[in-house]
Formats: sequence, C-alpha cells, structure tokens
Amino acid sequence: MSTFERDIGVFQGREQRLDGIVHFGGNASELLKCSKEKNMPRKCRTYSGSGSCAFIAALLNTCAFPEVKVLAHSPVGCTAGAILFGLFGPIQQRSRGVPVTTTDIITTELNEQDVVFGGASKLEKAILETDKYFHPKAIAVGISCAAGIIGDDVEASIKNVQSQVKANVFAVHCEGYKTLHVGTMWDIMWHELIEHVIKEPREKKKDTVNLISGPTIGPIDEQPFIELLGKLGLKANVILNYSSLNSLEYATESAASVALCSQASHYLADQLEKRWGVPLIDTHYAASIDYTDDWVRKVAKHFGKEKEGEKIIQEEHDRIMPEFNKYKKELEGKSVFISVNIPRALGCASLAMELGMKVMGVNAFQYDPPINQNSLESLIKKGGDFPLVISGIGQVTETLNMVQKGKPDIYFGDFEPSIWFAKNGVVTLTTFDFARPHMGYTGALETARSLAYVLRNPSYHKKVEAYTTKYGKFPYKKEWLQYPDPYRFLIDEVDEVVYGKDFGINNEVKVHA
Amino acid sequence: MPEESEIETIHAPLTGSNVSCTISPRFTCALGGALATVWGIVGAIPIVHSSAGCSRNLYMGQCFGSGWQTYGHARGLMTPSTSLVEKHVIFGGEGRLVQQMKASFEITDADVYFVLSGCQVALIGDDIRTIVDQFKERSDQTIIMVETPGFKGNSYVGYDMVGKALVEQLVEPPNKNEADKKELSVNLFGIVPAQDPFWQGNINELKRLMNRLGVSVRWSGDYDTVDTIKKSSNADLNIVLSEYVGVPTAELFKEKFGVPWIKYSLPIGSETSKFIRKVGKELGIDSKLVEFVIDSEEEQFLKQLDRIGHLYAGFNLQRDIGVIADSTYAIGLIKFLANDFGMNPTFVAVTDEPPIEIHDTIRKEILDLDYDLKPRIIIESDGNKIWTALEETRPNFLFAGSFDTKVAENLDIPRLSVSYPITDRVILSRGYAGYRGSITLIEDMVTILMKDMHLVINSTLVKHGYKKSTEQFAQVA
Ligand code: SF4
Repeated sequence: MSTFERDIGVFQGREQRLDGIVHFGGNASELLKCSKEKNMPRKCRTYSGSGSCAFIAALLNTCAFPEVKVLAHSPVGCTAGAILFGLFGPIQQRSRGVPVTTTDIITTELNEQDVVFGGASKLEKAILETDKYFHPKAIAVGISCAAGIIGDDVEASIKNVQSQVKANVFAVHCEGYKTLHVGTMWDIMWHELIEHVIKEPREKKKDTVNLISGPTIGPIDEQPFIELLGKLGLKANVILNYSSLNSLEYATESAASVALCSQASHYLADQLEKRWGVPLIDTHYAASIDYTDDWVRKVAKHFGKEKEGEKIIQEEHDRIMPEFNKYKKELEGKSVFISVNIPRALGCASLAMELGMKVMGVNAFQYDPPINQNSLESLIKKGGDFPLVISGIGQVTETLNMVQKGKPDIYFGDFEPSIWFAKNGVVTLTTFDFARPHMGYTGALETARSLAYVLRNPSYHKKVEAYTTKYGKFPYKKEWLQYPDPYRFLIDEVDEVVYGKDFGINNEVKVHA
Repeated sequence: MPEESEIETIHAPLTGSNVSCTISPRFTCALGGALATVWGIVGAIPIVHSSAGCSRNLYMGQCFGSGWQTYGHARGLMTPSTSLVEKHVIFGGEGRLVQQMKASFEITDADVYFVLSGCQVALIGDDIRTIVDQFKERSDQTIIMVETPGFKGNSYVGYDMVGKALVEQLVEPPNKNEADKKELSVNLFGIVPAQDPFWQGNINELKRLMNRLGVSVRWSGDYDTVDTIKKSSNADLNIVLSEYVGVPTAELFKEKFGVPWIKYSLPIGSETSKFIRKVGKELGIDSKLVEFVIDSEEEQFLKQLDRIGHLYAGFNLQRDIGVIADSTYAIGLIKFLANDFGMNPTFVAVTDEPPIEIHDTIRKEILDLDYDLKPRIIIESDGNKIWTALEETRPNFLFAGSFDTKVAENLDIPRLSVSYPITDRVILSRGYAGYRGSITLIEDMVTILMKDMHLVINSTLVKHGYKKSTEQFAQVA
C-alpha cells in the first residue's frame, strides 16, 4: 500500500509529522498535559459517524483555485461534494468583484471494467481532453480510494502525456482512506501546489505580508485585516481560494506570513519559512478581542511598529467596547457549546469567555501540538478547564451525549452539527456564514450581537424541535444520550481488533445503560 | 437468503467505457443513489462501510445539489460510517464493520438498518454478507444489506440496488385477507429521491391523483415507513415513472409477488390524462370515474392556461426550448412544453446514461409529439459535449441544471434549473408532475422568461450579426 513517504519523498501526514490527533475525549487540561509531555494519546473510535476523507478535502479545496482544473481519477461519486463549491465560489468571487468561475468537476468515471483492467489509459486521454477543453494553468489529478487500491500508476501516466499538454500536470495523493485528519488533507493540497505553483522570488518586498485566508473565511473578514495591516504601513498579499494563483506564486517575495486560520494554512506558511525564509508570525485565531489584540501586537512587533499597534488597539477598543458590553450584559452567565475546526473553536471559546458565557464543552476537529498548544494553554488560563472532544470533522456522537445532561443555552459552531442541536431544542449560531464578520474587532462585536439575537428569537429552532419530538424521532437512543461516559467509543488504538470478527452479539447488542 | 448472483445482477450500463472522462456529471455514484433512497425512508439508518468521506460527501452532493433539501433520519455527519483508514485497506475492514454495527445497534434508534458498502470494500474484498447474516441471526434488528460500490454505476443504479434489496429482504408476501384489500392500491417506482430534486412534490401530485381515482398509494419513495414497504406486495399494480429506472425493482417484484407493472415517464400537463387513463385501464377502474376525474382536473388546468393568456398572446411566449435533464424529465418536459404550451423544442440532452438498449425508446418517446417538431437529441452525460452541442443549436430558453449556468450566460440564454444538480434555488415541496405541477412550471418559467427578456434581445441581435444592445448603451453611458 502506498504511503506518503513512498509517493513523494518527504511528505508525511500530521499524525506523524506533528504528532497530531483526531480522536480524544476528556478535559482540555489533560490534553494540554499530554501535549506538553509529548505523549499524545493514540485512540480510535469503535463507533463513527460520517466525516471527511483526504480525497474530498484535498481535492475539492484545490478546485477552489479556478486556474487549476481538478481531474478526479475516481468513480463518479467521489466528486459529489464539490457542489458546495458551486455555492461558495460565486459568493466569494462576487463579493470580491472578480469574475465568477464555475467549479467544473472532471472525473474519469471509473467503472467496473476499469477497476479490473486498470484506468491508466483512460486517465491519459482524460488529461489531454481536460487540457484541450479548459486550457488551465495546471491540472491536479486526484487519486481516489479506488484508483489507489487498484494500483494505477498515476505518476507514470502523467509523465507519458506531460509533453503533449500546456498545463502543468501533477498528482494529488489523496486516497480517501489515507487519513482522518483534516489538517493533513489541507497539507496534501498545499504540498502539491507548493511543488508545482510557487516560484522563486524575483525580489524581496519588505512591506508586504502574506495574509493567508481560507475557504470558510470570506471577504467580510479579510477586508478589516487588510485595512488593519494598512494602518501598520503594510501591504497584504492575500492568499485565498476562488482567486488567481498570482498571490500564491510569488508569496516567496513577502517579508512575512500571517494566517487568519493556522490550521488550513500551516503547511504553506511552514514551507515558506523553511524553504524561502519567509517567517511565519504565529497568532491565535483572532475571533475574540484578546486574540485580536494579540494578533495586532505580534504583527506590529515583527515589523517594529509597536507604537502604531497599540494605537490601533486603543482606537478599536474605544469604538466597539460600549456596544460589546451591552451584549455582554445579555449574554453573561449563558452557557455555550462550541464545535468547529480547532483554531476557530479556541478563538470562539475565547470570545465566549470574554462575554461572560460558560463554555460547556468544545468539540474540535483535530489537535496538532505545534500549532494549537499555545492557544489551548492561553485559553485554559483565561477561563479555566473545559471538556474537550477531538473528533475528526465535528462528529456529534460524543457531543450530543455531553450536552444532554445539562443543555447549553446556545450552540456556536460549524454548520453541520447545528441541525442536531436544533432538533434537541438548542438554538444555534454558525461561526461563519459569509454575511456576518466573525473575526477581528468587528467580528467580535457582530458575533456578540448575533449571539444575543438568536437567544431572543428561537422561533425556527422551536419548530424544528417540535417536529422531531412530535412527528419524528431522534437518531440516537435516550440511553446513549444519557449514558454516563460520553467517551465510551474512544479506545486505545492498540486495542482495536482489526483482524477479528468478534460478534459477541447475544448480550452486547443491548444498550448497557 | 438470496443467492449472491441475485443481488448482484444490476449492472451499470458500462458508464464511460469508451470515453476518457466526464465533465460535470449530473449524478453521483451507486452509493449516492442508495443513500438518497434510504434517507427517504422513515426511521431508516444506513450503516456505510467505506472511507469516512463517502457518505458525507454524497450527502452534500445529493442533498445540497437537489435545491438544498436536507432530509433523512440520520443524515450527513449522523450517518454511521466505518470510516476506514489505511490499516483496514491493508488488513481488511471486516472487524471494523462488526464493531460499527454493534455500536450502531446500541446507540441509534432505527426502524430499519441498511448496510451499504463503498468502492474500497468491494476492492479489498470484505465479506459483508457473512457478517450481516450473522447479525441477522443473532439480533432482532431489521437489517438490509446492499452492496453499492460506486464503480458499479450511478445514482439511478443505486436506487434500484436498494429497491431490489428491499423486495428481496423486506417486502412480505401478499396477505390475501388483508382488510383494506378492497381498496385498490399501487406502488410508485422510478422517482429517485434527491436525484429528482422535485421528488416530493411530484410524488405528492401523483398520490393526489391516485386518491381521486379511489386508489391508495403504498410504497412511493416519499417518507415510506417500514410497515408500508413490508405490505407493499398487496398492491394491485406497480407504476414505474421512468423508461428504465425502477424497472429492475418492478421486475423482481413481479417475479416474487406477481404484481404487474407498467411504465410511464413522469407525466406533466395534459399528458397526465393519458397516464390516468392507462392506470385506470390497468386497474379496471370504471371509465366513468376515470373520465370524471380527468375532466375536472383538465378544467382546472385549462383555467390556469387561460389566465396566463394575456401575457402569452401579448408577448408571444413561444420560444425555442432546450432541455438538459435525465430521460424521465426530458420526455415529460418536452411533451408538456410542446403539446400544451406551444413551445418549439430544438435541443434535448439526456444526461442519465441510460442503458444502450433503451436509447431508441427514449428518442421515440421524446419525438412522439402532437405536432411536427424535431428537436435535436443527444444522449450524453459529459458537460463538454453537451455544451458544444448547445452552442450549435442555441435555443432561447433552457431547462437545465446549475452546471449549465456559465454556458447559458455566455450564450445569453435565459435558464431555469430543473435538473440535478440544482444549487441556485431552494426546493422543498415544489413539484412539476401532473396537472398542478405543470402550472407551477409555467409560473417558474415565464417569470424568468420575462425577467431575462434582455438576454433574448442580445442573442437575437448577435445571431444577425449586430452588437448586443446592452453593450451599445453601456458604451454610451
Ligand atoms: S465512488 Fe466509491 S469511493 Fe467514491 S464516493 Fe462513491 S462509493 Fe465512495
């Protein structure tokens, strides 16, 4: 079976490279302790909901660069989720005033014959056709589960046809089963883009900073940060999806990089630092006032503009605090459950703490010690310990158990779990929705306002709850929701019986409540 | 238990066997169609044996792509998945499946479980059947097993895989004494949930019409309960609303339970009268009742056509029409638009990769119109080829999916999204089938037609070698 090492020489998943994890349940302080002692828990789940796979995450995020055409070497289903980008793309592009492009999904549509006889010749023809029809700058060939298992030599196919096409063709080694770590999925994409798109610097621009954005961070959050950098006398080279590759190509020329979300951008920023000496300014996810202050201070300090930085912070506090404090009064003492990608989850938890809310628990997708330890530590210092579950991509199995014993007043997080909270009678606010800023000072203020508002008007959530209780049912049994140990499906990885077929059904099928 | 071969007999029309790739496919895989179908059953939980991504990816694809309708008892993140990783691909995923099934039975609340499998497990050769059989023996859960590897076919194929599995594994033999047997009843097949974004609205209109004939609808595809499906063999007739989707299910149904079936591609507008007559005849319903129902429905239908009269006649709403949709919709839409609404169909792309044997039937059905109209028909799922052909034909109104936004924009063709995937409108209870659906279709179409009149002006000017009027005056301004 292929591994990252064999495929591309250097690249490893975050699980090995950063000691990252996607399975954990316990108190935040426990995880912090493991992280500091470099003794990360290695767990797996014996029950799992659906999640993300390397293929979707890596490939479909690559699709978000219109100049790169993604050719999925896969059966027809694997690209289904790209539809989401059919929505994201136009919103992001229209709001930036750039031409709207379509996310063309191209798949070799592997069929029964191909999985028996191999799909290499089909792939070669497909590369030629993609080049002919779209004339893209680059073609990213995504390797699916099926293509990986049948062992098609994609690199060889690419070599065979590269000379016949204009586009730069490269393979993305993202077989779906490769990892459950969303961060690794991002890294796979960046790895290929770095290898094939990034150029050597022509000059060094000492006032330019790479501001690395992400697909679920929009112009509404980028703009304030661009202007903020402007006030520090810095130009932003915004690296983002749904836009031209130009900003990425010459990212090597900037004086430094700073990310809006450290999770998605980590590999890019890290490589820019290691290979081209563009230092990364390590920041928290600036969703709270504290974290934004810190963001500004670190960037200002890097460029020796501490005074200007403090001035900005003072001005911004004067501008937002009166209104912010008004919402704080409404929200103080309310409880919140947070579930989203880890940097954002910690940023949002920090905001909740500033609003005097009680963080009932956090469900974060993954944890990578070098990236997240600082934020986790500062958060525990700020507002105390809290239950923390690490779940790959926001699985709700543990989460719903955790919130059943004392329902939070509000769910604040990723859009997918929201509906299950709503059905459970909890009002929800999605962290990112394009239309509301959620980062920086303005984001903190607008989020506070929205949190207060959804509590005032839960009408929709009440209706959904009524439908579920009166006419439907909840997918989880009461016995599970009230089961004392939310982490019961998390076992040590070494204990997983991979080979065995222990049915043990007679007594075990029943719920042990 | 059925023999291995019995369940595995549905073969995809070997999709893409002589093409290299498909651009913007208008369906997902067999697993996607199977999931969409299972999510449409009340209290059903699919346990998906595959990589973690398949089920959530397909949820986004099928459900968001059908006008953002998200449905299913345990949908999206909530769908249990074995979430295989590399070690399972190497050592086998059977142990993981056993674990996952045990845990799913413990914590989830379902009326029926479906064990569905993805490409990976078919290729690594997990013996799912034995595992499921063991569970069937030892637990009191209702478990249906369906092998649905994506490379075996598309969403339409996945629908029949589930349909056949249900007929094999869930439907009970007819109960001749069943009290409600006095009432005539039917099952509806061939409408694939989410793959037909208007499935609920369509099924509801068909149910309404059946009820007017005194016929009740049992297994329809729209939020059926396990009990309904179990007792569906008591039906007097199975109606397949497609030229081929649902046929394997209906065939097996007939073989096992002797229920006859007919097929009739989704009727829209006055075609519905013919449909009702055919159903009435099959069921031996008093023709007086049938004609009474048709008459009263047609009155309402014609009344609405009359009400749009001023706009229609005043603005000559007749247009050259293009349709990019699956075979069911292509037939239904063209018949309605040509036979009832005076449109001139010039371009039809059939996108569902129907089996080669029925290509002629589909062509014949589309061309079987009341007037002498000859649209160009291509049976093609590849976006590139469809768009090239569209460019050659240049109709001036397009019924298509969201993938066709760009090409329609480039060619200045007003467009209404009617076929999967649809992300530019929200669809909940709306339907286009039957009499009422056809009026909804007119409302939707004409709204866009009037709003986007400038596009027709542009494209007509360009056709005759002039500049677009929008550009002319933009320059002046
Ligand atoms: S094609 Fe296969 S691997 Fe891809 S989503 Fe469908 S079942 Fe999963």
